[in-house]
Amino acid sequence: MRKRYLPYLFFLILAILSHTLVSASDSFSICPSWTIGDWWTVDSQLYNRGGKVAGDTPHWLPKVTWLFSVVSTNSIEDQPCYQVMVRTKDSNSCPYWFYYWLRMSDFLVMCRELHQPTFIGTGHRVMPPIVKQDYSKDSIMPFVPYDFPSLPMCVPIFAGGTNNVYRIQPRSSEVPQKSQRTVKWPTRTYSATVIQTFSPGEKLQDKSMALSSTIAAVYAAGAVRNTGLYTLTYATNKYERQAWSVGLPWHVYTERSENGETIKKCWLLDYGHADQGSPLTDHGDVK
Amino acid sequence: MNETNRDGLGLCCLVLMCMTFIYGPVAHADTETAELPQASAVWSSWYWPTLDRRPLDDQDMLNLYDDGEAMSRYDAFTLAQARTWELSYHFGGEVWYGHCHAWSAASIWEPQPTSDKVCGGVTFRLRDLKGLMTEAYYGVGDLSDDDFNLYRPSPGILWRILQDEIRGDMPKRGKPRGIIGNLTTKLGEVWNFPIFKYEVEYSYDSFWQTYSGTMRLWYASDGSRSYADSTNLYDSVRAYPFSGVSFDAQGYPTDSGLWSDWLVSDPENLKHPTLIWRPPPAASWATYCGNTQLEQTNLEQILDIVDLDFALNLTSQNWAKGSYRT
Repeated sequence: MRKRYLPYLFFLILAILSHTLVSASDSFSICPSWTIGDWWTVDSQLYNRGGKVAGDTPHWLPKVTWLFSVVSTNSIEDQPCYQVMVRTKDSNSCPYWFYYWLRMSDFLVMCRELHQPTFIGTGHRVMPPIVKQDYSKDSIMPFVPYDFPSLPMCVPIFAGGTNNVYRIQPRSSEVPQKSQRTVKWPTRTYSATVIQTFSPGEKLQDKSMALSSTIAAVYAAGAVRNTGLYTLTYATNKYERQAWSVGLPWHVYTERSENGETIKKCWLLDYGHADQGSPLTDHGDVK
Repeated sequence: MNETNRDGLGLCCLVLMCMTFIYGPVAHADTETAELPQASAVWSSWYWPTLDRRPLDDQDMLNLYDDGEAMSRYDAFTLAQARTWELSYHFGGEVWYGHCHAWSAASIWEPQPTSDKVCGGVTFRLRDLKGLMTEAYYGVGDLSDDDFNLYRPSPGILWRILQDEIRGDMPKRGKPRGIIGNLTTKLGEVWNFPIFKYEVEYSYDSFWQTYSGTMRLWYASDGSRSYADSTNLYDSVRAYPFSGVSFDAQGYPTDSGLWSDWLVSDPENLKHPTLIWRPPPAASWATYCGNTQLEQTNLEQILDIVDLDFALNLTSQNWAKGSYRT
């Protein structure tokens, strides 16, 4: 009797294997390919869980808009990278802006520069105008920073199969001496482990996903295919899900959830290509 | 956190504590401590409550809208209606309602006023200047662009932020700077303070390969109205026991671990920070100012009084007592 099931079992295993292989190849193909001058805008919205102001009740904060522009391609640690400028747009009052370097092959974030105003209106203390952080090319981790929460800059690794576990090497020896502590490379996430899963073909179903008119038109025209869903789990009950589509430069829609509550949503608004050398001037509104 | 999560967390914590007890936790103990350099120091003030009188004993609370206080002095200088606005919008509530979030942000980003100032014949005392600065930062409560904003942070991530921002290992802004903690001990209340120093006593558990101990946070206080009249630093400290923090290969804590009261949380005696956050500095006095009667040009005239030599070098006799004012 048992032998009668063997062919079915064989085909079942074959189906699982082929699905995995297809999924793995899809995970590569969904990685965007940028050129200098590409730009896109993203709306980001945070959920204020309270705790800041007396009498405050949890509520969604107003959306803020960020403008991304591919300004250059260059190398960091001999790794070809895209250099992406991220600035505020429209009513976004954030006083700083950023450069990010993403490795072309898999979007590993290699470097971040924070640009901030120097001495402005009030009397506050002098700070360096640029703060740079380099990340090691040898430590492969998705970029899940805890800082700058409204910035839609959480990036999966576009490599590997459908399920990947990225771990910060744990320390198993005894307490490190202070003299031994040198921050050579900051980590891309402060979580010990990030579990990244990719679900090809899956879409993020949410009534608040409402696409912008530009992106909706792209979908309606059938210009977008091969969608997929990345899930980056960075702690127990904490994860971000991102819907990506081949042909679009950034995740179309994103939700971050912590302890059962959705705390952040992001929408791709618009995208295009500016003249090389002046990627920002046509789509200004840059502070 | 819902009940299921709390039950699960509680069970994990119970198992963790039992195993720690059985296997013996301590391989060796150490202490880590750091505080802001003087130039980044924070300052004490008053939380400027919105309630007029304390219900318990009917004591007057010293409010920004009181006659003769900061808003009415501003009105006397500018002929504005700042006091009326304050009475309309920052009035009433619970006894703990006030401006602690705004003062915390101002004390991190703005050098402390050090002496009275006379503008147009109106004297702005030290506490009026602190009060105006605080009011100018009131709007930081509803921001999307915080440097960080961690609700119920784990002990590991808070430890790492303290190392980054207070010790200066990897400060977001390039230099060590204070961070704000809602360190309330009562569930639902908000008590923000600027944190300027920390100490972690910790030991290594070889079985679990994690660290346990006690984290102490020092912060400038706003618990007395007299603090607003002084340039002294009045500080307080809170201690938070924790367990289960894992380090990365370089010896830095990761987002991990449990606070001691996550097993059985007493809503009247919380032993974990509720929120850790910090807004960007104000681009102008108008950036975060909710009070529509306050105007940039007038505030500039009144508040741009910073004696940078004082703030950055701290040679003045006026500066406070305390461990980091040598």
